[in-house]
Order: sequence, then structure tokens, then C-alpha cells
Amino acid sequence: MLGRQFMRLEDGGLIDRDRPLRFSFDGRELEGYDGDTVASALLANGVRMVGRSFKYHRPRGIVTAGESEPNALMRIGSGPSAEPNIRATQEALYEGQVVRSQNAWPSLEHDIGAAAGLASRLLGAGFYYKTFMWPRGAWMAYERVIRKAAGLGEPPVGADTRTYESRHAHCDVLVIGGGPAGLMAARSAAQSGARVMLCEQDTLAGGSLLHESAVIDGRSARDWAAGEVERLAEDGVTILTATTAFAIHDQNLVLLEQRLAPSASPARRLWKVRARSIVLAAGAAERPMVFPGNDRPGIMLASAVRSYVRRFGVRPGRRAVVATNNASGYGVLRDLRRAGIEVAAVVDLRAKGAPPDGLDLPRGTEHFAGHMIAATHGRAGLRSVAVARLGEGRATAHHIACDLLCVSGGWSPNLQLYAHGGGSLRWDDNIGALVPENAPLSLQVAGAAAGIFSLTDCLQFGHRCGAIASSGSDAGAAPLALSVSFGGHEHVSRSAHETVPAATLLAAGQKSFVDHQNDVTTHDLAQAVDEGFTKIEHVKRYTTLGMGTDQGKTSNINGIALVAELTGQTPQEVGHTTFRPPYTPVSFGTIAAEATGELMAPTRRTPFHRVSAECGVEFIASGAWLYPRYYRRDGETMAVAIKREVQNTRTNVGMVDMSTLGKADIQGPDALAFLERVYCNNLSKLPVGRVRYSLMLREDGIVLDDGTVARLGEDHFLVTMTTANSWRVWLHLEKLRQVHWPHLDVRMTSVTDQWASLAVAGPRARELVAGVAPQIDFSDDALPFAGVREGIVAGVPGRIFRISFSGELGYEINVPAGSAAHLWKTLVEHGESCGLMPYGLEALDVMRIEKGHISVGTEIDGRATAHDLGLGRMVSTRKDFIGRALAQRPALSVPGRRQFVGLVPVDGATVLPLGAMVAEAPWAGRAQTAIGHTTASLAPYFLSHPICLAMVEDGHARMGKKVWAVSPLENTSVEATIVSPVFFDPEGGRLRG
Amino acid sequence: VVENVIREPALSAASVTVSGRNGVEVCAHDNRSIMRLEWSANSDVDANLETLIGAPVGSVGTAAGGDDLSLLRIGPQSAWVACDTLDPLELAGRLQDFCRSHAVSIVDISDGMTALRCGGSSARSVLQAGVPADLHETMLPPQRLARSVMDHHPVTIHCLEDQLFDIYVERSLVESFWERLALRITAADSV
Repeated sequence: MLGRQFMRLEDGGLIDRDRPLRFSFDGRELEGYDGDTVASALLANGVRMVGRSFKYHRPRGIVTAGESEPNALMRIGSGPSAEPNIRATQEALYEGQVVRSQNAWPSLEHDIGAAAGLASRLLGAGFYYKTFMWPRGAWMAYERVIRKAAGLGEPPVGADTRTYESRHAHCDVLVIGGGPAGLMAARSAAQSGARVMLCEQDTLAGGSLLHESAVIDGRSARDWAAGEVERLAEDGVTILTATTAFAIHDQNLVLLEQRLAPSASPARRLWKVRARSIVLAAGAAERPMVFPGNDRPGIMLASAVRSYVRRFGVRPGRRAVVATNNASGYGVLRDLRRAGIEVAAVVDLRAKGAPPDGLDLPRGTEHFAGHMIAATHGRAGLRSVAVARLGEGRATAHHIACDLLCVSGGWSPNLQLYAHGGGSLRWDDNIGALVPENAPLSLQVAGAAAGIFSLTDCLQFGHRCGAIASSGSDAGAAPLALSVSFGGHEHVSRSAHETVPAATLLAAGQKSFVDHQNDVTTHDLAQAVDEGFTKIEHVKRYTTLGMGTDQGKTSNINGIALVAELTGQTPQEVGHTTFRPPYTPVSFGTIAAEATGELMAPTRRTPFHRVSAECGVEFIASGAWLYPRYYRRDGETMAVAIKREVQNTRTNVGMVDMSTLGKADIQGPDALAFLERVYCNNLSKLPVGRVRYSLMLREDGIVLDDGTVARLGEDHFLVTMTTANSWRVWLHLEKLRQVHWPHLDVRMTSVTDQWASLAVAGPRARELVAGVAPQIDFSDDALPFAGVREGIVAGVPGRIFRISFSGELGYEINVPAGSAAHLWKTLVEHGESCGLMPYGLEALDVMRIEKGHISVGTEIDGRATAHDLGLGRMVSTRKDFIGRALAQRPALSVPGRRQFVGLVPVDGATVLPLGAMVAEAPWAGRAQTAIGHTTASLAPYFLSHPICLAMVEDGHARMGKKVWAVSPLENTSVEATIVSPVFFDPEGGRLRG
Repeated sequence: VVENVIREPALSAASVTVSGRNGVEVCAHDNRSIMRLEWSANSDVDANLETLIGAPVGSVGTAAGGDDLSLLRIGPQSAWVACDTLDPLELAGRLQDFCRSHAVSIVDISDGMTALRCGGSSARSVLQAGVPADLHETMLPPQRLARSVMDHHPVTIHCLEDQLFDIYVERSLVESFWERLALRITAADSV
């Protein structure tokens, strides 16, 4: 087994060598161990080149050992569950894992795209802003090419077969980060009795302790961390590993993504955590150094090398050079020696750079202070570096053979989440990075994230932050008594960091990459500055610095420092980019979680759903509702079924489910006064037992909704609202009641779900309804049009309203929802002799269009006034009501407003296009002025010709005039005559029986 | 009223009980009669609710249970009275005198709201997964109510015992809600 993993160390690492795992990389069968990441397993197998860069397709290798990785982005998995752009440095290795490199064709080793490197002089910053401007007509062709070239990775094709889950959670203290500061924060918070959650993006908690050589309380750092995790779990702390906090929103809503095994169900879990306080202990990220040729495979962060050696038992190279600008870079020497890696040289950028006290250089290792890496060599991997004294260039360079270059450019606190939470940042010259300033009260920043790099200080400060987060103060917290010792120097970086001067970089023969992921070089930054971009927000947009999946985790600080140098500003003046969620990329599957397919959104079913289904209904989603669309009989098409349903309702009797209409029970001594203010028509004289069609306006005088108001008692009303608008109307009513008129004694209850509602319509409706409600007098005198009676219907207490939306003699029966099926079956039983048939939404719509009834969403579209809709006479002039004042605005009564009319084709045969514009001339293939639009269109059903409803400018005054219904999309024009919108039974004789 | 008219349950017959591998079980709590009461701010109803229920009545967000009636304080001047032993008309009749004498409006919502009963050793955890409100035992102890949404469905949760809950859902949403809840129950063992 070890033979294949020829770069695996003989021992060590937090991996299970008894559990080998097979996986493939670009089709090559490889092996790793349980506990490996994809990156560590690749390194163990000697794989150095893992991808190609975004723009120039340069060979790239693994740079980091965590979430900031800019290069090692892989497509993981196969088939529809494959996921692109996964950081190999974070993805745990699983048996059978399929791993593919990205951005290379036909193969990683021989990538045609690498030819882009030959034209790199033409592909500098912002080249696409300049290149594709001409000729203007070629843009569509450019766009196709750009779209093909843009982006990283390929999305999978087909539906993802994995499952996802979301969870809500609450806690007193959420600790983000399970390193030394995070563990201590969790400990002190838990000791105070707080509900504590801790999330760690790594598969193991411990952070830097996992590769730190310190001894804490007599135990190795990693053993101490493991013990601390056990202790926290015993104290009731919820510990989530492999879980990344990717966003902090208002009121401390923190979103976490938990990664589980691909074969697990769920594979990912989205946590929505509401935390009273947050301790951000997200640590710090080591920065790369900017020098010529700094992107070859084999150039890695020093901390990453330490992690691969100590955590994963992997030897990332055989002969190393260390390049650093700070003391912490020397920390890797001990681990290189442990791994048997020869250290050829240490190159310290600082003029007086020297190994920290207590740390000796390995025998034979050269030390270069005040030197830089002037060039690197090697095609698919590093073979040598050129070391030159700062300011002297390559001419005096010293060439050193090596296959591993460990770089340390200083440390940058991970503060992206802190910025999400509303914290501000400032530049700290001591560490050459951004640090927190003015943290929000409920957000504590602990450890390296706060710019504190000493392990002892991190432990102490984390403990203190946990106490403050849980109790508001650390006054009562037990003191932290830990003994921390180091075998040599402590891993610190307090000195001001130094960088290679920009002028040196610009004069070098090789590219110096600032942002590896986006191939942004020092030349690109210089060009942006030359062209007038001086703030990092602007430079980012011009050069793409800090964009992409890593959002500049390894490049932002170096970019700020270089732009500051190039412009003569301080880094504080250059500013920093705005950090927005997500902190790391999150899959759409995680965000959607269970809400896919039929579970995407709540679905409402009417009380007649099941009995309708038994009658062969086809449902249609209408808002949240599943609504009966039509009832199919043997072999019928939808059109035939709709025609049959309409015909039967017009000749016999039909019934339609109206339960989706919103219904509100309104009671109280001021109920009438309330409704008088809500509706624009007069209700004061509405007697008990009668119903009135009513109109509700918005504050601005535009129609909000229509419906009926039924007076069931002196102080008791039932109002209905349209299905689509019911939630909006309910909010409107509640606002009026609670905010505008709290002094009115009105009680409102939504009874939409309480009452099942069935409309029975047609010439034989009375006969049918009377048969199932024998105790109610259905004569015109006892129950006239717009009357309502309460009584026993089909043996159930119910209500009967004599109203109709179809234009036929109609009764709307309301019974408690639990009795809906019983009512339906009773009507079917009694209706056989009357020719009863159920009908659906489509037939209802046909009948309402023929009757010229307005509908929400088509005619009531948020722009029409009552007058526009031909309902101006309903608007009372003798009372005050919501919308009255603004309905009188001149703008709502000027000529040119679109008004509700009917259209019939001049030829009497052509169906008018739906959604067409109404114009005064036919379509001539170019833009023309619309004077209206069609809102509904029907082929002949009962009428001898097609009909159409429309909103037309000054339509009421244009009766009899000719216009054109024009559809540029369908390339059609139909000449039509403007007529009254009421096409069927305009006298209303059928309605009144 | 004609006898023998059966109130059809809101949930289809095929899915009346779901058991999770974690011991959580949920079932429809059918045939519960519920009346919504509402009164004016300056009435003396608050002081008299105890006589209606036969048990001390707490503030908004609490529930109180007498021998056969439960009172759920859903708002400052509103409450639900629930009963398993009386049908809606009987319950309305029982409340009629009280409501009339204290000017309380009464609306039958027995068929509009569906009660589901969820219990088991990790019932609270299963519900918490779908509810943005804090259901921790210190926030939602027995006889407290939480009005929130669960997987985007509006719900009222009544904690009966430490791990026993009644969940009230609008009838039209109950099938949809049930599908999501069943998914949570069967998946929750992995947490």
C-alpha cells in the first residue's frame, strides 16, 4: 500500500492507516487513507500539478491546506451529483471518490488552453472591456465565446441525486472556529451555563493545534485539543465539525454548511443558527509571497507544509527552500527535518532576518537574509529557484535545486464573517493586515482572528471572549490555568512584514502573481493604477483581484499593499473590499435543502380535493392552491372537456369548487363602520341577509380587490376576497384595524379554511339546491338575488348565498370543511336527474370572460381605477373610505387612461392574440405605439365569434371604433372592433333565473 | 342538525401516523373542536376566563387546561378554546352564555385548523429543525405556545409535556405540512 503512496511518511499523522481508500484522479487509480483530504492523498501519491489556471492555463499545484485554497479546485463525484470547484484541501477522502481536474483540455498535462500564455501581453487587466467593443455588431459572436471561456468548472447535467437538509437551531453562544481560542471560548461559555454551539470547518477540531509542536498541560497540543473536545461534548456543547459558517446576517442569524459523507443522507446540511452572542475564532490565513514565478506546483505555504507533514503524514517534496518575511516561516524547519526533507536554504526577505532564538538551522542549510526569490524554474513542477539579494536582480542570482518552496508572507486574520456581522476593519502596520475595529456588541473576535498570534495569548483571550459572550463580562469567569510550553520558539509573527518592492517585481522576467485564482499579476495592478484606479474596490473590479471562489483569501492583503505602494497611499487609504456572504462557496443543493420538487413550497388543497380527484379532475397550481382545472371524461381533450362543462352549466347545472376564495368573519359593534371605511361602495344600508358585490381601493386610489360582503347579523359580516389577493387583503385589513383605527371594536377571524365553498350554477341550480336543503325557502321572495340564508344543507349547518360569478342562476353553498365531501356526494346523488356535472377553473374562466367580469391579475392589475374598470358608479361620493382622496387625483381622470372594453374581430372568425398590444395600425415589423393590451381571449364557445377583453386608452369613448390586436412575438395582427365587455346575457336575465 | 354526518379528517386516510427511527411519532388529532374567541380591550374577560375553563389562565402565549376544555391564549384579546369531547355545535353552545354576557365574539374554526400530535424522546429536536422560533425547554416549557412557521407553513405549537406537542396547522396546508414533517421525522435520526 505504501508503495503506491510513495510520498507518505512511514508514520505519524491523524490518519487511519488501517483503512485505505481507493479513489481516482483524472482516471488514475490512487490510494489514500481515512482521515485524508483529497489534497493530502494526491500529495501522498506524488501528484503535484492538480489544475490549470483560469486565464493563462498555467500548471498549478496545491498551495494551502484549508479553505483559502486558490488553485486545487476539483470536480468531485460523477454523474448528476458531481460538484465542480470543490477545494481539494478541504474535501474529505472517501472510498470510490471520483476526482477530476478542471480548466484543461484535452488533458491536464497537455492543455491546449495553455496557448493563452503566449498571448498574455494582450490579455492584461480589463482587456475584455477594450477588446470587444468593436465592431458593435459582432458582440453576439463574442458573447458566445466569452461565455464558453468564462467561469470555472462545469455544472453537472441532470438532477442531483443526493439529499440535503436544513435545520434551525438556537444557542446563547455560537463559537465559530475550533482552534485554541475557539475551544477556550466554548469552555468558558459552557462553564457559565450557556447553551453553546461550536462549528469547525475542518473534519477535526483543534485548528493550529493539530500541527503545533507545543505542549499544553503536559500533553501534545493535538492530544490536548482532542481531550478538550471530549470535555466540551460532556458539558453539552453542540460540536459540529466539517461545518463552515458562511454568512452572518442581521440579529446574529448565522448560516452553516455541514458536509457529510456523499453517501450519507443528507449529504449536506444547512444550519440556520440564531445566536445571542457569537465568538468568531476563525483564525488567520498565511499569505503567499509575491515574487517572480511564484505559481509553480511545489510552491506551498509554510503552514500548509507543516499541516501535510504533521496532520496527514505526507512529504510534500524531497528538497526544500524556505522563503519568508517573518519569524513564523521558520516554524516549518522542524517539520521538514522530521519528514526527512532536505532543507537547501532559507531566504529571508528581511535585511536582518534570522532564525528565532532556540531554533537552529539544519546542517548544510544556507541562510540568505535580505534576499528574495528572483525566479523559479520547472514546467509541471518546481525544479529550482533563483535567490538574489534585494535590489540586485537576477544577474547575481544564486540557483538552488529544489522541488518544494515553503513560503510565508505573514498572517492575515480571517475577518470576512466579522464584516458580515457589521464589524469594521482597520489596517494594522504591525502585522501588515486588517484587524477588527469597533466590533458589534454581540460579536467577540478571539485569537488569531483578532490579530493575536501567540498560542498562550490565544488560549487566554479565547477564554475571556467566551465569558464575555455568555455573561456580558469576564469578571466572574474562573481564571484559566494552563501550562503551555514549546520545544523551541513559539509560532509568532509580530514584526512588520516586508514585501518585494513593486518596481523589482515589474522589472522581473517572470510573472509575479498576486491572485493565483484569477491570474492577476503585479503588472495588472500597475496597469490599473496607471489607468486611474487607486482604491482597491475599483482595482478589484478592473483586474478581478479578489474575485472567484476564494474571494481573495490569499491575495487581498498583498493586493492592498502593492496598490498602496504603487499609488503612494497608505494601505488604510487604499481601503478594503466589502466582504459579503458566502464566506466560502455553498452548493445550491445546500441552500435549497429539502425544498425541491413538490416540497419546494407549501401547497394548499381545497376540502374537495379528494372527491374532485375521484372524478378525474386535472389540477392546476394557482398561487399556493391546487385548483381543479377541468374534469376529463373518457378520451376528452382539455378543450372538449371545457366546452362540455360550459355547455352543461349553461343548459343544466354545474358545480365548481370556490373554496380558495379568502373569507373573513368580521364581528363587533364597529364592524359596519370598519367595512364602510374599507370598501369604496356604500354598505350602510345593506340589510341582514343580503350580500353586496364590493370594491376595495388602495390608499392611492387604485383598485386593490373585489369580493362580496354578506351581512349575517347586525354586527356580523362575512367578506370574501379573491384567491390571489387574499393574503394581501388580510394584511391590509389587519393594518387598518391595528394601526389606523385601533379604537374601533372589530374582531376578525380568517375562515378561509373553515368553510368549504361550492358554487352551483345553471338553469336547474335552484331545483338541485332546494333538493338538498329542503328546510330553506328558495323562492325569489325568500331568497332573492344577492341574498344569504343560514340553515341545514345536506344535513349539515351551512350557508347559502345567491350570487354568481358565471352569469347563470347560481347559489354558493358554504359548509364546514370537514363536511365538504359529504356535500359533494349528496349533490352528485341529487344532481343526476338534473344533469349535474362538476366544472373547473377553465370553464369558469370562459363564462366570466363571456360575462365581462373583471379578474385579479388581468384587469385588476395594480394600475386600474374603479372608473377604468367601468365600476365608477360603485364609488360612493357620500362617505369617506380608504383611497378616496387619492382617487380624485387629476392624473387618475385625465384622457388617455386605459379602460376596460371588449374586442371582437372584424372578420368575425380570427381569434385575437392573448397578451397582445392594442394599436391603431397593424404590425409592420417595427416598434409602434400601443394604446392598450388584451387581457383575455376566447375562441367561440357559446358565441358565434371569438371575443377578447382588453384595456384600451379612452376605451369607453371608442366604442365601435376599429383597432388592431398586435402580437410582435407571433407576428400577427388582427383587426378588431371595440365593444362592450359583456358579451353574454347583457341584461342579466339568466342570472336572476 | 342531522345526525351521522361524519366530519372527514383533513389528512388522507393513508397517512395517519408516521414513526421515525428516533422514536418520534406524529398522528392526526382528529375531531377536535376549536372556537376562536375575541373580545375588546376594555372588557373584563381576562378576569373571568378562569371560570370558563375551570383552571388558572396565564398570559398571552400560554395554555390552560381544565377537565375537558383547553384554552390557548393566542393574542392579547383572543384565545382558542379546544375540546375533544364536544362537537363544534355543542362546544359553541357551552360557550354561548359566557360569550354573550361578556361581549365575546365566537367563531368556529374546528374545521379550519387541524391538530397533529407529535411525541417521542426527540420530538422537540425534530420540531426545532423546522421552526425558526426557539423551542428549547426553557423557552417552550409545558403549557406554552409558539406561533411560528415550520418549513414555511404557519403553525401554532402547544407544548403539552416535555416531549409532547400539539401542532395546529391550517386545514388546506395540512397534507403539504405532513409530507415535510414526515420527512423530518424519518431523517432526524442522523443528527
